[in-house]
Amino acid sequence: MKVTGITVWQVALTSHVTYHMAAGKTCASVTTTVVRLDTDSGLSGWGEVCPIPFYLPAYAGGVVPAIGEMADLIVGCDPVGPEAVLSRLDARLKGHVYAKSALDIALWDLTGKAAGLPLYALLGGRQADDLPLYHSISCLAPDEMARMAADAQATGITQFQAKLGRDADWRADVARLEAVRDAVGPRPLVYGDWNCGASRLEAIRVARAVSDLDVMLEQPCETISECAAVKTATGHAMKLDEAAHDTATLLEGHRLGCMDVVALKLSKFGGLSRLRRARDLCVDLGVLMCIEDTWGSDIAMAAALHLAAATPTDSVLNACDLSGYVAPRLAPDAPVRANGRIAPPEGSGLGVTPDLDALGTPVATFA
Amino acid sequence: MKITAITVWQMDLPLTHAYTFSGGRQTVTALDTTFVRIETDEGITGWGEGCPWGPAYLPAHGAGIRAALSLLAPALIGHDPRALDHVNRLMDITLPGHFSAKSPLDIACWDIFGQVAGQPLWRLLGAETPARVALNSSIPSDTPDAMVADIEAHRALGYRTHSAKLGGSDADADIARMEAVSACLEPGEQVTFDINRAWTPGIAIRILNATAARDWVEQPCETLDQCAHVAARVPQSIMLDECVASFGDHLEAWRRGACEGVKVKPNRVGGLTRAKRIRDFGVDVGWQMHIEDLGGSALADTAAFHLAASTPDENRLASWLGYAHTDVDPVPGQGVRNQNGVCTLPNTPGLGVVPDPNRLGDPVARYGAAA
Repeated sequence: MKVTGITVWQVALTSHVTYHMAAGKTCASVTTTVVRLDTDSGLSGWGEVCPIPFYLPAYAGGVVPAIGEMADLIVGCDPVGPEAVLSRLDARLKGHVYAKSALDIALWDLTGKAAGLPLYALLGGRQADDLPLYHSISCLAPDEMARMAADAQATGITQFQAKLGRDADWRADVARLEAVRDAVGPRPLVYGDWNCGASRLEAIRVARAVSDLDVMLEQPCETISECAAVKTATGHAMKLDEAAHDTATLLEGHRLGCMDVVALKLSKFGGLSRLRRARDLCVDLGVLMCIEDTWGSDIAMAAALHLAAATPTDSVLNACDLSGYVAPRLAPDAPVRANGRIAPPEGSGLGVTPDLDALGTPVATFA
Repeated sequence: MKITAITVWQMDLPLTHAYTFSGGRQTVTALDTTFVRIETDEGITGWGEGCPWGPAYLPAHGAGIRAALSLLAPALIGHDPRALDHVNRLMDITLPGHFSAKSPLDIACWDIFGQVAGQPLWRLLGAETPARVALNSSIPSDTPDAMVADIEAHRALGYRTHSAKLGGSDADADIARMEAVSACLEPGEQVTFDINRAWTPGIAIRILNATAARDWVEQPCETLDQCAHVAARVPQSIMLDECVASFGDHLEAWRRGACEGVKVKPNRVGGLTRAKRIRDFGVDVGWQMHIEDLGGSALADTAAFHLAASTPDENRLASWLGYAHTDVDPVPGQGVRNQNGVCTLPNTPGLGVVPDPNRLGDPVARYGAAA
């Protein structure tokens, strides 16, 4: 099988609830990039990447130029066995893992379709029928966040991520954690996420003020060593996200003891090939994982769900139904949440069928 | 003073000799460079350049720089180019990372700042009188005899410091190269052996303990972790380049004792503002530094050499001159030029290089006020 062409679309994904994070970071409408690889066999493979602005060194405008830099290595390649192709892409263009993520997912989709197997069967075999979801709550007034948590809980959600740090008032973050913790009762998991936006001092003050609460802290500060200092000073369980993005940073987070949980996101690591490696490392290290992507819709979500379903269940903390947060849906046959859980798609490859009408006019083609 | 418009040009700069990275990973035959010109409401304009050494050397490529400029340039319109820290903060909140795209904008703002102050950049970067900057040769990996002949040829051109590239794929061949090159040096000469990340730690430790050479060794392995591991187990001094970009990376390298020096390249670290900060830190902790850029025309070289010329002698190693490896000169006669193995800096205010736009072709983008 040979890839004969690359088609790229960009679609604005509008959040159902505008999503506010620390330091002014906001997701109201975010551009996602969808990639389709066509082949001489008639099979097509789909990929997607959706960087959040101001979040990581990745942005929508960088995807198409990076694909252009690598296009001649994709067109004409045999897509079966994505890691061999990725090695050649890495030799061509250093970094740019977010752009490679979309290509890698599409190569995996083709590999699965060629094998006639769903991706979870190729990524380790199915270990979970379905996966628990967390619900992410925009950084708003404490009572508003409590209401949103209760609404989500009524649909079966048992894990709640409260965004913190929007207004440079550490007491407001204490109130947010107290309100959400109180709203959902004693059993569910509640964690507060600063998205790198806190100083060590702010994070420590908040954490000490809620020292009697059962809450986990997520990525309070920018670097792993700062996060480790917060963890040491407060003792709360901690999740890393932005600072953990490759083997070296996973090992560092583990070594410093501040990575009880980690967010494994496709675009942060560079697609399923790299995320599978990170998944295997985290299983060995005993680190719980949230397996998802930065943002996006049905294609990125499907890829992450396949990997999550092929991971030992006692290593998976949760997954994310990305396309449930935004409109439009890009693949109407993709799964949706039910009773706080979600299953990966069935069918070979990713198992989703993107809707060409939802994608609009391509922004680039390479042949 | 406010920025009113930013214009972008693209140019291919063919190399005089094709360059193959250690291990044969990629061959570069031409550089894809990007020039920016910043205009202000007071009529002063500034120039910058961003030019990666091919797309595999760092996470940067020409088309990506220009795509990032489409976000960064509009964010600067209306702001004061003299407020360099403010300009850098604006760029950082607009787009994390992407240092190679921020660098040309930062350099162009420094150019304006220097012209407004009536001072050459070397003075604003800390020098009373600018150092004469010794030049660093670039010796491609080859047979030991061919590398020695190349060093002799550069010696005849005035070079006393050499950057010798190793092959990275055959340990015994690299040992033979190191021994031959190290033995051919004359008194007062020095060499840095540049591996460009090609060794695994085990190979690096074996080679560097087997060879009698005690010269600088640059970027032996891919990651900072690996280089730090090697640095603790070999007798040579280690120079880091590709694996350190942010200031935090440099702090981490120092904390781990991973190096005795670094390459300071404005286009790798995000411009002169960040390069100065790293240079100043390097002076404080006793590093020795090659201060130069990734590649490009004499404009990019000159920006980096202003920083080199303002760096204390004991912390400054020789600088590599990128334009000398290209076949096209967009700024003929301007900026730093090889004068028998050294360069002197212009005394004109600002950067001291003003391209003729007619030599750059049609702009590929313009942001802000119409031309």
